[in-house]
Amino acid sequence: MRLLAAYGAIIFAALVIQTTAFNFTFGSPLWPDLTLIIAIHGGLRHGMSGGVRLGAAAGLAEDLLSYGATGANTLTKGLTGFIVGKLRESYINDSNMARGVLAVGATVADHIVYSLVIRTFSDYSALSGSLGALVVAIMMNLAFIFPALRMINRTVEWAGNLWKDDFGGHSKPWGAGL
Amino acid sequence: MNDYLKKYQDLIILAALLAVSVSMFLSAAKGKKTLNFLERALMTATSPFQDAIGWTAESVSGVWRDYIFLVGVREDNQRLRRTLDKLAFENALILERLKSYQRLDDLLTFPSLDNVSFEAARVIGRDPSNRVRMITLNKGSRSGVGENMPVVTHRGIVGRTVSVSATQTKVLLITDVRSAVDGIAQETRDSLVAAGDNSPELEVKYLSFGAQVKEGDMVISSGLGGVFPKGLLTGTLHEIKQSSGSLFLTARLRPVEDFSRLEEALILKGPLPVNVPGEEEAK
Repeated sequence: MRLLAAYGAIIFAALVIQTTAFNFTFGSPLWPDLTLIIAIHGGLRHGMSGGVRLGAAAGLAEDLLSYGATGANTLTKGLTGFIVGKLRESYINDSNMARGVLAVGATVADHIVYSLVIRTFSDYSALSGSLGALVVAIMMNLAFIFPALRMINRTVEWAGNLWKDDFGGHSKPWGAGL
Repeated sequence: MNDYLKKYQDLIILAALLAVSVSMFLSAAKGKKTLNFLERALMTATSPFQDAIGWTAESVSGVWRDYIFLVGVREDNQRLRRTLDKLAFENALILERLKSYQRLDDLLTFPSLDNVSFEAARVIGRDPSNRVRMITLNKGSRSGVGENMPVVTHRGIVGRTVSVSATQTKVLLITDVRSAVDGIAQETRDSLVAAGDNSPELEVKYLSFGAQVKEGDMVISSGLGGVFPKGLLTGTLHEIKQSSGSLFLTARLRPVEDFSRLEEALILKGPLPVNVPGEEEAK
């Protein structure tokens, strides 16, 4: 339950930051996709099952604050969490190299899957923008994934310790409850 | 049973994710608002935080703008005074024109924007995914805002309201791929449709091949379509081209407002003088 609360707060904070980032970037879209980074974190830390749930929850919250394509981000972020989790369980370690590769791969996959979903299920197609926009998104996600993952990990651990101190030290290992 | 579930766990999770997200997407595409309650709750919950961040950012940039970054203010002041004198003279002439226009307007019973009530609102958010051209305003149903209301600035059209919570309103910009505005070239009165394509400019469609428009011509809303009242400035035409084999000219429309820097907007609450096709005939 406490894990859900901590992640709920992280997703909420990420969305507030993401929707108000224009205040700090003078209107330009130079801002990372924090929900995608949360999905990557979910896969790396909690494996396939936790990754898909955390990614889908972040994507759903993003869909609710966006307009017109409810379900598209739920799918793309859920898939990201699922694939990262599967890779983490079977093939890769949580290293800086892996994080960088995942940031690039997940951004490209997110754009492709989102475009495919929109083209398949709606009558408009030009949604995910140009190749230039994709390159900018990759650069931003790559630049932010390291500090953002560190911050998410610390927040989750801090919340866990805080809870453990308050309630007598009976805490399951992080990730067990997700 | 448990072994079977464990064996196919990957597939089951993936199938569940696909089923849930696709059903949500299809449901939304059909206009059903199955997650309406959740959407409004999340909008209401994020609103105070977005408002606070917006207010802080505005205060900080205000201090910078008003007290620190004042290079060239003296020159600007002198230039603006000269412009003011010129505009005051022009204003007097225009007022006279306006009075005679209003008399003619009354005679012809043209729709008027004089009695439209509006709500001024501040931009507190944008689309989190950066894939939808949308802004969030800090006024909602508590201020009398509803769905499908036009949103404008003193310069012209911004978009229309698409989702309203108690304290927030989502506004779909005219540059979004789902938006289109029926317009008229102000000088030549040629009709056209300006459709968003998620770029900063709009694509002009159905502009007749024989239209006498030129670069920089203003386009106003025609009032057709049922959302935007007639006469609101939409943008300026450019990149007008004649493509062989087509019945229409191709062109781009540059909106009057830079939406990436928009800070405030007006929501026109109505009653709106919109020309609905067929209404005249029905009367």
